Amino acid sequence: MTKKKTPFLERDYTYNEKYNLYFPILEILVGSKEYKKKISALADTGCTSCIHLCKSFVEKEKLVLGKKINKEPIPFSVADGHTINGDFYEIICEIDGKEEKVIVSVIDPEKFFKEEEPQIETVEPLLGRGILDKFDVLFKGKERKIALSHPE
Amino acid sequence: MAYLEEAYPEPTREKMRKWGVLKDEPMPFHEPIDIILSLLSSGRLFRVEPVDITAEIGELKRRVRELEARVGERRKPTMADYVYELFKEELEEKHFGKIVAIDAESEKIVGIGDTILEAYNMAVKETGKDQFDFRRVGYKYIYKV
Repeated sequence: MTKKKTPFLERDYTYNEKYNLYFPILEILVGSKEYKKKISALADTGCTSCIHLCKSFVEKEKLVLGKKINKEPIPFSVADGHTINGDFYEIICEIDGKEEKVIVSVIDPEKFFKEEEPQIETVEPLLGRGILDKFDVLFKGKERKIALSHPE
Repeated sequence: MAYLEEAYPEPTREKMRKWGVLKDEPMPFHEPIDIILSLLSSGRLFRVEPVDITAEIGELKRRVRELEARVGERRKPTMADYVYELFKEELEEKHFGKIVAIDAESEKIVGIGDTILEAYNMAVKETGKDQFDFRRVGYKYIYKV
């Protein structure tokens, strides 16, 4: 008989009034020492990056992202089919009390769609496969809970 | 030979209704004038409300830009693209789907890995520099969001 794993983190889905839906949102600590900041990020299995942010969110939250590791802009494929340029930053992120180096990707969709009146809303930070794949993640759809446990 | 709808005898019509072939509601349009009257009453033929031409032009411009961006390649090729093209065949044969770190100054591939961090750490070890360009072998993008 297989041993039942005890998750080190279990969170209820967060209700979004606008969409009348529940979303698996987790809180992560980004940055190191005095710059450490807690942000909420949507656990998104369709995002292949580690942590994905929009530039407007970084400016709004005044996040200190650390060292940029790319010289030229990096192409990202966004869900609606566009390819948008972005940057990579190496940051320290705290997961289950342990500090780890992760890569944060930042894109600027508002700059890409040069509108007179930009219609793009600030996109929620995403917690992608780069981090989710380090753990065993269980989406309890019926119970509206997300659980993370360490793989054996 | 097919009968007109009205020509079916009542017992046959009864059976047709039972089987779902014939429905009780009348056909919506029998005459072209019915169609025109229906369109006029629904406001689809002539727009009743005032039209904001500027807003419509703005919306059309936005849509055209969006489609142009989707069809055409908006990104201009960079030095990293040139270096990637130099090693493209070899990379796609041996490391398809992996991420490569490119040092555009020395025109070399300096790091390969499954993730950006792996490729970056390898490139730092190799060159001692701290900024590189990255490409995913065989793809036009590195990550999907």
